[in-house]
Amino acid sequence: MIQLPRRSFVLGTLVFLASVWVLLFVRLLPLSGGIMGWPGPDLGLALILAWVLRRPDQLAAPVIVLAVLLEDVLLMRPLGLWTVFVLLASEAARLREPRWRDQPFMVEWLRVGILIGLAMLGYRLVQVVFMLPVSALGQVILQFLATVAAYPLVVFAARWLIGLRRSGRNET
Amino acid sequence: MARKGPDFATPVRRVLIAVMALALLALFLFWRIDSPRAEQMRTAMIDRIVPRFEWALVPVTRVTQMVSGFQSYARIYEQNQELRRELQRMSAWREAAVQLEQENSKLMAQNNVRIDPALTSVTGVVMVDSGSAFRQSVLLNVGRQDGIVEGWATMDGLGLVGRISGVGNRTSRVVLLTDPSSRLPVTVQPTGERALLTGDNTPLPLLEFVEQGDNVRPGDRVVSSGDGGVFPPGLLVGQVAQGSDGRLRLRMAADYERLEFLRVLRSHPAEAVVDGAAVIRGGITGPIGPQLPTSPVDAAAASDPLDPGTTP
Repeated sequence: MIQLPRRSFVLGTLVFLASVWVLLFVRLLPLSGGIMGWPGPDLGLALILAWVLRRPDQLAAPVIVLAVLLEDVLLMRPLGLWTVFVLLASEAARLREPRWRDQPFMVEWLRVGILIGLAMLGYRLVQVVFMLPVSALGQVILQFLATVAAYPLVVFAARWLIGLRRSGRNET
Repeated sequence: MARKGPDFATPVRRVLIAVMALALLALFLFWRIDSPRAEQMRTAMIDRIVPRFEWALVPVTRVTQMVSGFQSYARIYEQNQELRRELQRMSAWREAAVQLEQENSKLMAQNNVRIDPALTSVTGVVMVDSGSAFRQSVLLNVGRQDGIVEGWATMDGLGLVGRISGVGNRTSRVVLLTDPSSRLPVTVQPTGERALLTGDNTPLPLLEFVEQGDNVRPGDRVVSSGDGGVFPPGLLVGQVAQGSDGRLRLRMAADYERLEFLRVLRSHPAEAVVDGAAVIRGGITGPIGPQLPTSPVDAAAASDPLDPGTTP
């Protein structure tokens, strides 16, 4: 029983890949070479979680893996490690999505914050266990805070730019 | 479309997710164990991907730089004054330089000195940077095709910027001196004090293992010392500065905020790992450890039993 994937699925995947690519592209532009400011938010992770919590039917796990793995390769991170944690976080969010759906946005934000924190903590833990060079703790915490703070903005931007909203009822 | 449980959380799906996660972990382990090969794969992928988007990267970068240049028109008057003052100072310097050049050429003529012809360079344009705040590197648009070799020094017009690490066919990565993994042996100029320049992800890298800290003052010139044979000696790196925490740091001579064109110095033959096969695998097939002496029994068995042992 092979059935063609639904149109909204294909469209959603393409839009997701395009937006991840744009985010990566902007990050890689050699504009801030040498200026070490604050580590910006990990917008890709925020977008993935927002997407999974809004339209889980549009975003398959292999697509997430593909996008984050590409990010791993281009950003000189350990291959595959961060991808595992993003995959686990997105699956955790996907499993709980039906239950979280009817709750206010603040609760979702809090839970997403906890998920992101756990993913970053696990990533750092594995880095320490495998004796990889770890980045400064302060910067990682700053990045965590920035990502959590950027989550509502990402949700808002995704809603206005690419029309990402919940499938069931028209409310965020 | 309005399925209540939007995802069919069947056991099969869970198994597939677990398999995918395990495959990713295996990839990570592969990267951890055989890092050079994994990094080669990464370099090859970057080499494929990034040049394809050069058509988009270059205009966007240019436009953004133009916008930031435009913003600086706002204070064009102050800039003009500043430049005038600087020009005056420069003309004094120019006079000094001309005199020094004359003196230098005179001395060189007396000595019959020839400038090392091997000190040539390849110029590359920065395509992308590392994209994260935790690593400091840039990607140049020159690679193996242009003869770039791993480990060469990279400078901008004035000072040392970093070293080549990872060469693709058309691209090569420069790890900047400010990267947390960067270590460079340097000499502090007037006293000849040796030190190690350690990147720590801040704009001013640390100067560590100074033999006698009293001899080093803020403002001293720092050049590469050439220890370890990685970099040619005598390349300008920067000036000593005192950090706010009292430790010795280095103000880079290269303009790190505006890395656009970089020169890769073709200055020395790269250190080649000659016996890599023996180090990694397959080189030595026998047991590891001290070699057994050749057994006299084997030698006797191999020789002809009827041989009298003397040559007629």
